[in-house]
Amino acid sequence: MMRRFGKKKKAKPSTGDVSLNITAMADIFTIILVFLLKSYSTSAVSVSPSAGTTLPGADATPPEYETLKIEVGEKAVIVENTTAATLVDRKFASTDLDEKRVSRSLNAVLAKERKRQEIISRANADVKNDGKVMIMADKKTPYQTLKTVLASAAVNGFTDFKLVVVKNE
Amino acid sequence: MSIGPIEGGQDVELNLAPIIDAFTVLIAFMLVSASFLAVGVLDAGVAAGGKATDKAKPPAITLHLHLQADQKIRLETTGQQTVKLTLTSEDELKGQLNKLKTRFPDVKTAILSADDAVAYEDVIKEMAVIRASFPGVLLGGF
Repeated sequence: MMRRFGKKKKAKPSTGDVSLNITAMADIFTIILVFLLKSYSTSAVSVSPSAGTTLPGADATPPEYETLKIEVGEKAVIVENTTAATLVDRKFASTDLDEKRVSRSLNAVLAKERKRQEIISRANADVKNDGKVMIMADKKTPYQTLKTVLASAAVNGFTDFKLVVVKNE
Repeated sequence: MSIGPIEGGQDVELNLAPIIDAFTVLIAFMLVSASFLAVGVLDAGVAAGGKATDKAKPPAITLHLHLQADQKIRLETTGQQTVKLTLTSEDELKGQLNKLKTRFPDVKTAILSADDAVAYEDVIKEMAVIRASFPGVLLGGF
């Protein structure tokens, strides 16, 4: 036994012709590809919050169709990937708020979006101007900021809110 | 007609390198574009806004819940029954909501508001609890 362990195997004479066996690799890649295809999100609505925005979790229904998206992050409020208002300590600057606690800068952007939607819905009967809006807010956003966002949306006719959350498993 | 072993056949080996290349590109693309986050939406309306219906019958009670910064919940009802309670736990809230739901099964909505400092996460948590009894949640306080 000891002699067997102590024995060294004789090295095979090198032919210089080394070929990588990639059949096993192909098998692994096929499995990974199948797994990815299976877990690939097939939802018609693309919801992708910015880095740093953590959505709260809850039991919810999947989004049905695309609507206007408002994201409330740590430093800014983003409407359709465009910064509409900046936040300081997750709050609107007092100079940005009017007497009804509506954000002036956000209001201007939402008014523009509303007009755009009206023009599109007039030209295309299939597009509804139904006042639906998706709100993607960071879970640490104070209700004060959320209230301002909701009020700014409501004065522009966006009153049907879809609060985006991460579905609980 | 039966096909037997081909005699004198050559050893044909499939060239897997291009397949591997294609798979690598596909997997990289899918990993980049895939969204592994399962998102959903919670419906909410505004307590004072939206389309009003003239012929709508007013509900038997108006249920108003206010989430305080100290995590206590103030429950108020007006209408056929007037209640004013301060609840300290989620179970207490569930119990009260179930009682109201049993007594007034036609009531479908509740108004939820919160103190300015309350985090959005806590609002969503309360919304989920309320929705179990009253499916329509309207956000208020502004």
